[in-house]
Amino acid sequence: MNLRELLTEHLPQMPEAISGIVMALLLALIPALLVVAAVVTPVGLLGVYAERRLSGKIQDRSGPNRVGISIGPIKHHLWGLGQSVADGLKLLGKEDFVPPGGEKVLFLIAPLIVFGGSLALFAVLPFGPNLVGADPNVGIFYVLSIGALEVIGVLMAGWASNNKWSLIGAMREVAQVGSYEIPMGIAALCPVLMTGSLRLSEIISRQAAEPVIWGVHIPIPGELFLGWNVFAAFPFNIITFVIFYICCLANLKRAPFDLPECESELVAGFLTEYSGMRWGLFFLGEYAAMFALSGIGATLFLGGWTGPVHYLAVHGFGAAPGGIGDIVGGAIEFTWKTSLLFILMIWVRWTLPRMRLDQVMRLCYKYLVPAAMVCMLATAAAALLG
Amino acid sequence: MGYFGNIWDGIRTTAQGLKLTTSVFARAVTKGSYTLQYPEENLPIDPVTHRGIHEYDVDRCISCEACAKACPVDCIYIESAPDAKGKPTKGKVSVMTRFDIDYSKCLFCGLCVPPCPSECIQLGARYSLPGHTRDEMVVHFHEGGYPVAEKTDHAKKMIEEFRAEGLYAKKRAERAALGIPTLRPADG
Ligand code: SF4
Ligand code: SF4
Repeated sequence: MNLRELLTEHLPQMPEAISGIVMALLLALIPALLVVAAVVTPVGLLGVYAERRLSGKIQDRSGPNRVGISIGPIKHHLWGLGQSVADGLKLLGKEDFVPPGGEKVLFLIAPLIVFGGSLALFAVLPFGPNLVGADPNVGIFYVLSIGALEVIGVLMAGWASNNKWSLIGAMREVAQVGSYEIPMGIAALCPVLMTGSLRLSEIISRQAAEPVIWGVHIPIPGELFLGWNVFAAFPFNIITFVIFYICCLANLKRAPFDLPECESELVAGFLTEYSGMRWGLFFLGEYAAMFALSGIGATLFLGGWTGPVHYLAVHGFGAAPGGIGDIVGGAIEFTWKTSLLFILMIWVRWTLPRMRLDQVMRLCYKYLVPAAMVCMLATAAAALLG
Repeated sequence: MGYFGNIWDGIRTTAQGLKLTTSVFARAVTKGSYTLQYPEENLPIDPVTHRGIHEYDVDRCISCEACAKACPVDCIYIESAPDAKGKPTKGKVSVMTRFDIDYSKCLFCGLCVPPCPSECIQLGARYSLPGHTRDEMVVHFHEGGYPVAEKTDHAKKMIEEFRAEGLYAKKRAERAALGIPTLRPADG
């Protein structure tokens, strides 16, 4: 049976979830292309810049602060904002090296899969009211499965590099996936329980409704903090949010979970043999995924684009729903929450030392999974109450 | 430590670490970071103990080549103007037409300093010599050296002597006649 037959005969009978994913992937294509140019690249470059500046200050140095503009009489250091652009241009000009003895094809497409995976996350990211590429009915499911796509790219990269460091790095990533995916999935279930839907837009609108905590109605607008999912089933979903966030860090392979890269043991892990723009794609993909997962975290637990700024835009300045004020307010709201989570990731990275693989597994299996289970039960009870 | 003790320990130590990095961050932002912005800011340097680019008084040099002979890497190149018989001038009247130190070779050992009979060469506090080519690493000290900072009694006496005999002015005039510019100040 070939692929065409498979699609034509079996696609209609496939469970709705799977056809939903296929539809989402197709729908994601066009916005994804637009988003690459407009969002992902600037987010990646700014993210690298923020990381380097913040880490500099945390280590009592300045970080990049020189590369600015110099066009004729206009000269300014721009606080080093040009550094990422300069580095990107440098990477573009470098040799695209393929290690002899490696699996050439796998080696070449691995960075594309990782980058594509983090790109696809942007397709469902709700930046604001109507500011979203696609809003599939399987929203969170899509996010979790696309987030796992990246692992395949990493495994391919490590496998194809013909290098022991790369292979060990890739194997660590695979071992790590098994441990963090479970608590992540359970943690992501809690907002779903509260909403009764996997659709991201519905999860957001529930958080904007009047807050109900343990069946008690609180007569203030939900957008003002209390409606957010972190406060649902208080205080259990605060723990859920922390668990989700920790799992995001593990998913992104960032310290203290950067075992697959692990510069001090594995040279650069699965990245060891990569150079030039392929390495740059891994890098850009990492920062884009950081932003995307921060955005998902903000959407699931912190109200997404609804919140005080959006509330002010609508009720303070009287922006019409769906109008420009509504959208801008929502986008600002989403951006500040996401940036906050993003900066927290940087802060954590430059604070905590790397864990051993057995410690990662112990943390996930022994502590995060039971805690997430308890929180999920509590959330379910709270959902029953109202 | 029990199960919940471990959890509490993890939370406590993480908070401790985050607090530490925040305090360093806050200090770096409010009071400026520990590092310097190099070309604009410099660390203070002790001119006596620092071994940097040489200080050299071209007018007081007697072209004896003792320094060049002492140099373990042979990076000092000395030539002086010929006298009436065509031989290079030596001693007090010698006029330097070349005194180059190749800083791509110099290892700042300071062995050239003690042999100098007129005490006109020393290691100084300068350390910055950026350039794009090897040629730029050669400093032409005959176009004027850097004033010697620390003058011994012997050096002071010699300076007096040279002044009294008008040698400073004479040598400068001769070098100017040979077309050698005076780019940097000297002692006299
Ligand atoms: S410091 Fe040492 S290496 Fe440098 S010129 Fe003097 S003797 Fe030669
Ligand atoms: S030892 Fe002193 S006087 Fe002799 S050539 Fe060197 S610098 Fe000049």
